[in-house]
This record gives sequence, C-alpha cells and structure tokens, in this order.
Amino acid sequence: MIIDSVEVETINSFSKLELLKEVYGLISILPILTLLLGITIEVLVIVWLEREISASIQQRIGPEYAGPLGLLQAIADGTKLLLKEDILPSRGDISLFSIGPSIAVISVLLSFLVIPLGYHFVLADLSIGVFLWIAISSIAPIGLLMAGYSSNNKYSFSGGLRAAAQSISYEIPLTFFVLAISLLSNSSSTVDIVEAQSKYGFFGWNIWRQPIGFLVFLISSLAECERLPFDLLEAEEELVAGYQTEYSGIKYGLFYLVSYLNLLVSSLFVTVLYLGGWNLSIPYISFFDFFQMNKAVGILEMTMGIFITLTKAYLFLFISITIRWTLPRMRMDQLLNLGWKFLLPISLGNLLLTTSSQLVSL
Amino acid sequence: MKSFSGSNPHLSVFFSVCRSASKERREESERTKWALVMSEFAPICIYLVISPLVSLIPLGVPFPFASNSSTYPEKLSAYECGSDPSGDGRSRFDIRFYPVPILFIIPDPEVTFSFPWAVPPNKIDLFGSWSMMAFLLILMIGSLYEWKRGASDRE
Repeated sequence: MIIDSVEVETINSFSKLELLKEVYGLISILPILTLLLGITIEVLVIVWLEREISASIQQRIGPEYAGPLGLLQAIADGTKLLLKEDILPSRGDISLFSIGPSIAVISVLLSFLVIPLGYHFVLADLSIGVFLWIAISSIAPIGLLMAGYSSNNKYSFSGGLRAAAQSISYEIPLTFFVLAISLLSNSSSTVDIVEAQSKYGFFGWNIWRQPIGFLVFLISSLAECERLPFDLLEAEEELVAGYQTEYSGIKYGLFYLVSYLNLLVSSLFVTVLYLGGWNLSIPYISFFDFFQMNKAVGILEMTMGIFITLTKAYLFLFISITIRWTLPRMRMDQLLNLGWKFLLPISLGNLLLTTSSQLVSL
Repeated sequence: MKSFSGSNPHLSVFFSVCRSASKERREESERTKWALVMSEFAPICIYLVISPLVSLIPLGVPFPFASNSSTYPEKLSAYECGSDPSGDGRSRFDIRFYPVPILFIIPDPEVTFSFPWAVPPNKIDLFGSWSMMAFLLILMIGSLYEWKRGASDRE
C-alpha cells in the first residue's frame, strides 16, 4: 500500500489529537471544581441578598451579626444545619427519604453545565444545550415526590403531589418559549443563542423579539422554582413546610440549596436567552478595538463576560426576590389553571407567530 | 464543534481524505468521531460523578456529631401540629392530582418532537413547517377536547 506524505501527516496529527482528547477529559475536572466553588459563593450571596432585600421591603434590619454586614449568614446557617441531628421518620421509607433531596440537587447542579459565561467559557458546548436543561429540570419533581411520599405524613405527601403537579404544569409553557428562542437563533446551543443576539447590541436582545416570551418565561421559572407567588407548597399556614416537613439538618439544607440554585439557574438562563448573555450591549461600538495586546484582551474579555452575565442575572434575581416579598400567594387551582389554560395557549400561539415570521423572512 | 474543526485544518483535511478511504481509514474516522463525541460529553460524564458526591457527602457529615441516645417516639412520629398522628400517612389522596401528569404526557413529546423541527427552518422550508402544523393541529384538537370536558378543572 502506498501512503503519501499528506496522509502520514494527517494521521500523525490525528494521533496527537487523540492523546489530547484523553488528557482533556482529565483536565476538565479543574473547570468543574471552579464552577462548584463559584456556585457555592453565589448561593451565599443570594441568601444574604434575599435577607437584606426582604428586610428593606419590610422596613427592618437584616442579618448583621454573622460577619461584616451579615455576609457570612449563609455559612452560619449551613454550619448549624450540618451539626443538627438527622431524624428519620419511624415508618417512612428510609432510602427514598435520603435520596429525595439528593436527586433534586443533582438535577439542578447538572443544569450549570450549559450556561455560557463567555465565548469559550462554557463547561460543555453542546449543540443541544437548552434542551439538556429542559430535560434535566424535569427530574427534580421526582425528588420532590420521593421526599413527600417517604415522609409518612399526610401533609408531606399532599405537598409533594402539589409540588410535582406544579413543576410539570409549568414545564410545558417554559419549553415552548425556549423552543421559540431556538427557532429565532436557529440553534439549541446556548453559545449560539447568545451569539445571535450580539449583532445590534442592546437592540439585538431577544427580549425585543419575544416580549411575551420574556414575561411568560419569568412567570414559568418562578413557578418552577416554587417561589412566591407560587409557593403554596411551603405555605406555612397550610402544610407547615410541605414536602420538607419531616426533614431536619443537612437534608433540609439541601432543599434550601435546591431552591436557591434553581433560582440562580433560571436567572442565568433568562440572561442567556433573553438579555444577550455576555455581550456588552452598547450598539455598534466594539469595546476591544482600542486594545492592541492579544493575551491581555483575552483575559479582559473573559472577565468582562463574567461580570456582564452576572450583572444581568442579578437584575433578574432582584426582581424575583422583590416579587416574593410583594405579591400574595396563588391558590393551587388558580395556579394550575394559569399554567394549563392561559400560558399553554399563549405559548403555542407565540410559537406559531414566530414560525410564520421566520417563514415570511425566508 | 464548529470552532473545533475550524481551529484545526489538519482535521478537515483528514475528513476529506477519509471519504475515499479504505477500511482502515474508515475505522480511524469512526475513532475520530468517537473522540469528538467524547470530548463534547466528557465534562458531562465527570460532572455526573462529581455532583452526586457533592449532594451525598453532606448526608454523611452529621454522623460524627450525632448522639444516638435520644430518639423517642414523639420525635420520630409524623408531624401534625402537636397532636398524635391520626391514620396512616399513605391514605387516599385527591384523585384530581392523577390526571395532571397524564395530561402532561401528551404535550411533553409534542414539545420534544418540536425541537428538531424548530432549529433548522431554512432547511425544511414551507413543506416541513406545514407538516409540523398538521401534527400540532391534531394535538391541539385533543387539548381542546380535554379543556371542554373539564379534565384540568378544579385543581
């Protein structure tokens, strides 16, 4: 067999590449650990932020004893929960009881894989990024149902059923609106969706092309996170703490973590899908033409990207927290009616409108 | 993946060589594809191992601090605002929670099947869009029937 030099060269480069791929698999532990560290710090910040904002809205002082300005309040809470006794209900299903919160945590943690903080700054640049998030967020109701059922408590069970019903009811409008965004950007990859919004700066954001979508996405993601005005599951007057009633110690802490992580994921996805991600959104000005050095520009771009994404995400977080402490709670049947009879037709209509506008412009 | 092949001209040359290739070359191209797929999903696999660890390790942390002498029936029984628990925890539940997941089963694959249709509209043109409209129309008729019959009413 005659092999000429071009093929030899390509085979050599391929074998080098394959070696790199295996090494790449191991190296990617470091970005994952960085991400987990970042997530932990963000949760601390969100907990502190929620308590400070709620205190301001209710005209009182928030946390001020744990650390300067009360910043270490979440660490204090977490440490306290870690040292509490782990009570297992007497006739409950112990294995389901232990695994329930873990499943919810795992499903929310996995959603952080596809959130881009910069152009090459995403853990897994999948071509089905947003679809992965939608699919994985469907696993969380299983954990909540397990928690409710295994507690051997009528009220926990009822809370768990309500939680699952609420979560799955609002997944469908959420998915339809994400689908409309994918349609507009011709891709399901989160990096592509952000890139598609980068052309006209501030006016290229998807929020102008899908205003109904933005509002409904806000509502649906608040419902998915089980926050007010949709938090009937933790309504203290009704169900004590819903599916979390029988939990104590760090398992309760895991539910607490799920709630805030879910909120963070939702706000990051609002940023990515509707608010333009990491793009500095001043139209027609490219910020980096002023810099001549290559490496410094790379690091600066990365930092700017993270900073901008987090700023936009915190804007949505602020809105969610303010909504929580301002609006009254919805009843369960009002909630399900809203999801099935109002948001689902709107989402279908929006999808058809978007499709027709895309076809017209073809 | 697009940035990957653009950044490596050797790989694109390799792909073009592969097309008119013998069996050994075809096996190598399959290994390339496998390597590419693994590189895309490798962080996910590692993360899938790390995140259960993150959520399961805190479950074991209280054990050194726990005291095993103080469990008494009142602590372990179900919480009913102070009174004794009445009846079994797994009694009958409201039947109206049952149709909600069943009615979720239908729109869930509807949305899943809409994802491959929504992403490349310029490749499937009008014919593709209208075929999907037929599918959505059939499911919409079903949803309308369900609405009119009141299956999703009263919780």
